[in-house]
Amino acid sequence: MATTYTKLLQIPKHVTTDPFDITLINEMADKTEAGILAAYRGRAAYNLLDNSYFLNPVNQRGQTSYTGSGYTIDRWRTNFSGDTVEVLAGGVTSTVASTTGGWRLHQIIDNGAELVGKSITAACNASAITGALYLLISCRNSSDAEIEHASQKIAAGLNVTSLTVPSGTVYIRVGVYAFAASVAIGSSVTLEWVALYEGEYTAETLPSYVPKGYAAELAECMRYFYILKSSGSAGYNTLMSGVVTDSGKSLIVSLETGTKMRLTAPTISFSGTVTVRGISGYSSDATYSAPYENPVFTVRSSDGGRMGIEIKKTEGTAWAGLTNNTPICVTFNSGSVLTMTADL
Amino acid sequence: MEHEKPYSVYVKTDETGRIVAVNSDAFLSSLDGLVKIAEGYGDKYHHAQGNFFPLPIFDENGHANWRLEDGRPVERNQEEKDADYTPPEDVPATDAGNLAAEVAALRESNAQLQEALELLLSGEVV
Repeated sequence: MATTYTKLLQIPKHVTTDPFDITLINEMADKTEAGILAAYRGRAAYNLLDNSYFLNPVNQRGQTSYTGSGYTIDRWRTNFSGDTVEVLAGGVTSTVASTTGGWRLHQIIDNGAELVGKSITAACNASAITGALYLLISCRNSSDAEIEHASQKIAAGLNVTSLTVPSGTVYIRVGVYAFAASVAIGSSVTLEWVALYEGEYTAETLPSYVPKGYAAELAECMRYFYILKSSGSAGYNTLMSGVVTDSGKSLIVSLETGTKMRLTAPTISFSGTVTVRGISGYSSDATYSAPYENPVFTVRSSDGGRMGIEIKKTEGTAWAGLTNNTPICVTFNSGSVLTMTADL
Repeated sequence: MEHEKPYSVYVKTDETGRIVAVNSDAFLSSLDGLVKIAEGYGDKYHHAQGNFFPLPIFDENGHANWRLEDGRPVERNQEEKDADYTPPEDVPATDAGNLAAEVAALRESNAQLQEALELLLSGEVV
């Protein structure tokens, strides 16, 4: 009697005439295990990177093209002054502007110590590649010196590389790297997604990439970066209430960040102008028609998703027309931008 | 792989050497007038603004907690902070007296106006 198989996993069924066929029983066991593992891998693999889906990335800074060293789309940065990163409908493109070796588009995570002794696998899907660029995992100590790395030259399509996280690892960098020996000006890669999984996988066993979803990614990204831009001339979306303290020199206002940031004291910066209203009208230092330019913002306290922000004049003197302990509200004028950064 | 360069921490002081701002070179577009005081890795150096010093730049009374001495930050004691105080000027008693007189005059004027209005509305005056 011919062997019959299950429909999906093709596990052999017992033959009624020989229910103790050991070859058949072993084949059943192997295929059952393989089927369970495949299903388990697909469900259990969690992407350790943030903002990894480049077809719809979180891009709070809002630019479609970034040039130079620093952060680009949320959580992803480059280290080279002339390099460009473009946010396109078909993915994110990193283009090299010098023949110096080093990190191009990459992400830093800081939970390396939790992964010591475990295998990790980085993967990316490249829709276009020009020149020699590499997908690289770099395990680094607390001084950001590399302990060990693994790399894979990027080809169009799926790319995978793995290593075991060595002792002493604090930071892990993952992303696009250019080696000085092989990089050429104009080399570029367009990526649709990048992932970092716990476990060792090959291109054949790698779990299917599943985006976490924009809202989940945004919440993760806001732990590292928060931006508040004034939209509209009135700036009502930036209206913050607070009190006057320190003999009129300080305005303490409350700001909701939505997500608790990674640091209780992120780096805060402001560019633009503010208006300040007290109970008796505008402070004459910061009226609607003559707003105050570039005051000094400082994070004074934080608890969960709420920050206490101090606003002072650059001269450090009292805000004219405001009395200690009275309520005030502060608005940003058009084009003003406040950022709080806790990036790695 | 290259060893990434450390972050440098810069401070700004006022004319008396009190530290009024601190930040990392990661966020500074110009270093003019700033003094470098440290360099290193991690949040303490990268996000120096709120993480380098164990105390904030200013205390709850707005006094600088730190000063720069021979290129190094030193915590300021209470005596130094007390010397920062500029007592508020006393409001002259005459001003308060004038204000009271003005209020009294306005009240009287208001009462007269009210009386005139009532007279007009009553129709007794044509």
